[in-house]
Amino acid sequence: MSTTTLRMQETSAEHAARTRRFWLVMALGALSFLLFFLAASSFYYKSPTGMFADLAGWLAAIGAALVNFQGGFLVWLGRLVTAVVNIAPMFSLIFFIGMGYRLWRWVQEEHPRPASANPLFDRHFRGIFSELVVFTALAAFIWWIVGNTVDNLHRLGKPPGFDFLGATAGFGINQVLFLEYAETSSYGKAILVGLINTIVLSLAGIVLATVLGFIIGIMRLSSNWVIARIAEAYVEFFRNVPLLLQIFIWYNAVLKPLPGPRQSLVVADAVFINNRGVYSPKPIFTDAWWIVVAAFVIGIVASWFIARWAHRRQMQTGQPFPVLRTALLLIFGLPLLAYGLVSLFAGPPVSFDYPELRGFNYQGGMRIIPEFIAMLMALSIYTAAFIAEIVRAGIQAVPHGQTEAALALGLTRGQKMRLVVVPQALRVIIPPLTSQYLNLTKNSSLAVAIAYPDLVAVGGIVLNQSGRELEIIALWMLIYLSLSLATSAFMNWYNAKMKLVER
Amino acid sequence: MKKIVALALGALMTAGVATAANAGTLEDVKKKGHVQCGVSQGLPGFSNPDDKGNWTGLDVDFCRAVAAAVFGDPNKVKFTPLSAKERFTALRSGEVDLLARNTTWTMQRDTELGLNFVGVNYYDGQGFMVRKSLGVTSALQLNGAAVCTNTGTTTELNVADYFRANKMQYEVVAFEKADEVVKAYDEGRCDVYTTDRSGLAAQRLKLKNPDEHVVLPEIISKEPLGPVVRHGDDQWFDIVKWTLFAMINAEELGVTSQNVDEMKKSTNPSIRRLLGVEGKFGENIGLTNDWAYNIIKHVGNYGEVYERNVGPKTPLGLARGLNALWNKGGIMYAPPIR
Amino acid sequence: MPATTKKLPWQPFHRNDMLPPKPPPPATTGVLGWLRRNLFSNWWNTLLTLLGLWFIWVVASSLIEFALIKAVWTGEDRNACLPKDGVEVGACWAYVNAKFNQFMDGFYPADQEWRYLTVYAVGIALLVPLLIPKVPWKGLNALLLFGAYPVLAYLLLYGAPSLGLPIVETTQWGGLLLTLVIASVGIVISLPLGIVFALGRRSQLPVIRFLSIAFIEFWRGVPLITVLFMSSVMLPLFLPEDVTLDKVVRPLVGVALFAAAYMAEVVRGGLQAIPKGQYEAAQALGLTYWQMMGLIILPQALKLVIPGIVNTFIGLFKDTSLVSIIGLFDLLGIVQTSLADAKWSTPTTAPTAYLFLALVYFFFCYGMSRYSLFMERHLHTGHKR
Ligand SMILES: N[C@@H](CCC(=O)N[C@@H](CS)C(=O)NCC(=O)O)C(=O)O
Repeated sequence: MSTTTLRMQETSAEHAARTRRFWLVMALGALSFLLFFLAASSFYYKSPTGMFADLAGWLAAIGAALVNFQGGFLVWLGRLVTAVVNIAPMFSLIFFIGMGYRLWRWVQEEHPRPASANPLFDRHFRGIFSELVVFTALAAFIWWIVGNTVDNLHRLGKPPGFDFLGATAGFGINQVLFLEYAETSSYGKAILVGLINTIVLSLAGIVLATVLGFIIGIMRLSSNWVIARIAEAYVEFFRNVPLLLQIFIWYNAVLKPLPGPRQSLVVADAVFINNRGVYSPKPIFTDAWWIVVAAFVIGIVASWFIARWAHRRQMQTGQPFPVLRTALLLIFGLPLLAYGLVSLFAGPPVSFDYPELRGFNYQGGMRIIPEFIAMLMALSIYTAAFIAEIVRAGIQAVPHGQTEAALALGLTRGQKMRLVVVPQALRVIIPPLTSQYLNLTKNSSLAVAIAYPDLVAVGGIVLNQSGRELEIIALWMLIYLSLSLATSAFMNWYNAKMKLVER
Repeated sequence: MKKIVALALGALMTAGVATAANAGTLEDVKKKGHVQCGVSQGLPGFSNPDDKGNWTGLDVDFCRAVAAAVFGDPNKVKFTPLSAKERFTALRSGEVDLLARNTTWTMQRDTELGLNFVGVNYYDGQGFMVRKSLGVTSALQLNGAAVCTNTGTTTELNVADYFRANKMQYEVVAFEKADEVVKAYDEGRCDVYTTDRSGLAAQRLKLKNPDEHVVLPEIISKEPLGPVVRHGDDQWFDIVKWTLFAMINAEELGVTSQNVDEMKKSTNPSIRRLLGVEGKFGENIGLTNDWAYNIIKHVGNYGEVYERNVGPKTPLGLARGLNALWNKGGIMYAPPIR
Repeated sequence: MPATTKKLPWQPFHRNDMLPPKPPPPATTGVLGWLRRNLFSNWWNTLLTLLGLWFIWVVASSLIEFALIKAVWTGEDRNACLPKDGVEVGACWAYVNAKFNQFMDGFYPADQEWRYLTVYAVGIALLVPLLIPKVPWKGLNALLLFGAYPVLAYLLLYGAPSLGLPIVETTQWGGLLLTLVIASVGIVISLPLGIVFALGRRSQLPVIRFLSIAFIEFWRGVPLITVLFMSSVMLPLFLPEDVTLDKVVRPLVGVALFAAAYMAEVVRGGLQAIPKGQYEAAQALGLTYWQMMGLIILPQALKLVIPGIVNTFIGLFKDTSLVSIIGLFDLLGIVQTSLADAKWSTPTTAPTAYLFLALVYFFFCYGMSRYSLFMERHLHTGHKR
């Protein structure tokens, strides 16, 4: 409506100027589209009309890739991506259409009467115009790269695709968890083994780093001068030495000099430590074990209900209930009780397989390879230094008045910590803490330096044996990116939630 | 803003760029003025730098021979050390013109990976090394052993095959860098070190006490090691291939770096063709006709190179064995120059 | 005493003589007071103090014993550092001594050493006055450091035959020299690039904002080592067939882009902290976007985030050690390689080498972090209300 009113006041000279501007602007848009089109066509399709030449064929190829489920999910995804790449430049059309619309709106509505006839002096127009330029340049650059890559790959006789993931791996891996992997398994399976190793290492590292980091962080705030200085020295030292060096130190200077299998250090006649790793007895569960597990689950569920009930009661009557103690009792007591009963009536539900020295090495039992230990120690000690600083900052961020108020209300020291300080400190701590977790996960990729078979190390072997650089590197980045993006999504959600609590 | 970024990127990329025309590898090489040769990161006898960065070895001498054939000067070569994992990518992407890095000729590499093996400059097989103190005498006693090896090699696949075929358990510890493998083995992370037997002889020199280790008698694979070029340039392929054959033929014909000048006067037609006195063999592959003369004069024939780098008088002390000429009990054989 | 007052039902208490003086309260000032307050305030604290002291004693004494008392300072080869008569020896400094040149510059020709030493000297001469706030002529200084110096450094390090400086291939660069080159080039590129992307992310133009976010989140989402693999393996594939990039330049591209993404987030933090009024005031004055950013917003924002920027630098410096994984001989790479030398293989070689490395890296990183603390305090004074 406003448009109409404005337009009614427009003189014919203004109208002519606006029309001129309109065409000028549209010509600019068309020109940049043409540039982009030429770039994509010549770099990627190798012919001026290449972009539309075989559109039907490409669409058909996408359709075919969509319904071809052979070779597992990854292969399917790879096939689909490869098929879509052919029409990818066309997605940029959406951008150009959008930009055209914005330009049109700019001429029609937003600035019917700009200060100057020259649109280049208009802030909005300049914005739109620079976006056009940047996008066109960038898109051309990207298509130049993609075109080169595709060219190079074709020249090498290796059109990109993920079908190779189905081929036989043929190499061994020395830490396989939760999966059945043998030399006859596929490349895809090998990569999965690597991914699981990455996840296991990261989770263990996160737990250890958190515990250590909180301890050191609290030590740094200690009123005891000696303790505070020790924590400070820890933080300064481990933060300022490269992680890779720390990994080497653990692996080459601490773990390798351990005695060989025959001179193993023995703990309690059951745990053996040598330069091949740590061996411990492996529990073997009988069928009756499920009773113990069930008791554990029941304990957790019951604790949850009790906690709810206690909360409600306290809200109504003000009477507190020792929830934590009860929960601990239930969660650990019930399974223990179940274990005792089962042992009494059906014999022990779990027995142990002890490692024993047979031939070159200990066989049987559970084993942690030294590469894992080195990675775990280095990662968690390094990350703990950063977490300690985060914890310190978080606790210091709680205003002193809060603790004074808590004490004035007569809360005990423990209650003060639990109900007043920690919840507020956590709000400051958790976002940077999550990003440390993410860093730790990404840093676990340094495992490749010491032969721990993580995603990058195993992927590297596959890359090399199959000669598929592009695909493997894309796979790595895709996996790490999705981990990161998922974490940031969580963080955003958490931050939003915490904001609400504040109100 | 983005444009600035793109420009910066472009500038960055051009900063360290060296252009090599894609007319053909030979032209590129001539324009650059040197052959870029991919070698190992340090394998005594094959390709090894000393403290000052001077390279020696069988593979290194082969690179020098190619430089001598192209430029008449064996020093017009530069070396790029490559791990087992990096080597094929480096060759394919054009980072090196030729790869002479104790690389096994396999079908997959020769076809699927887009490479061309020019021949074999060392016939080898995979072996095992263990500590003498273990008292092991045969690879079949290795059940349950921890095995150190390189990633990205045929070695790592062969060892898996071998243990599986013999129904033995093993733990593989695979490092990317050869030095890490040796260190891990030396410090007891593994019971066994496995690689090409020539490699075992070479890497053994890096152990603290080489005498405390033995190489087991089993040879579990065929490892024909040879120089490699990439697909798609037949002329360059020919040049590198015939450099190797010229060195082998020279040994067979008794032409050495010492006597090559006299040999030019020889009446033996094979020698005359080899040294470019007769025929235009050099010109036909885009070089000068004295190409082979230059190779032999400046680098030597195959036998000389072998003796100098890995032969019985060197620390590696490898007997000729399979690598003796076909008429001396080995299988080293080159097509004739005619 | 006159007993005229009415008798009270109880006996009132009154003191007849002074109490004896109480002992003075424990000193709260002076050395003793400090000790008591901070170390021995109660039994728990006392226990912690003693434990802590014991811990420090154990660590310090074994470190000193290893690094100094039992250390071997001279020797030709590993025999010098092997246990003598069954007595363990400490750090094998003789080995570091023997390899020192290599650790410093890789395979840089010995007769050309003066070239990189000159580069260091000029670099220090230009950097130090820039870092000390009191020294004047900052503009000229910065111009020299960021304009002229890189050219000079390039010519000296790489060489220019026309000037009589023989070329030293980058394959011959190594050790601390390579580490410093990668770190400083990375720093110099990543800061401006990071600022550009931070501005892009805060831009009102949706396309530019989206592209910046995509760039930043991509690089922050992947591990550096995959970036390095990509730049060493994939960059050749990305470029036309006839173009090859130098082996040192390739990881540099990766490191710089990676650091730029982190830098962008740091700078964005600073931009966000600038009150909206500053933007509005700048616009009201009629400043253009670039004037507003360059003259008003960025100077304040960058000042705010100096600690973050330096932290990113420290991270980048530490991260340069990753290039050893892709086969470059930076400081960590060359030391790690030298450990394979049988001539020096002894039980204490590796610990010595790692101690040496830790000290060198610590020196640089800790130095940077101290400087950032100093700068933070220095800049803060102006704002105190
Ligand atoms: N022949 C094997 C190569 C074996 C290999 O790489 N061996 C190691 C150990 S002998 C090596 O050459 N290392 C030297 C290096 O990595 O620089 C293959 O082609 O896969």
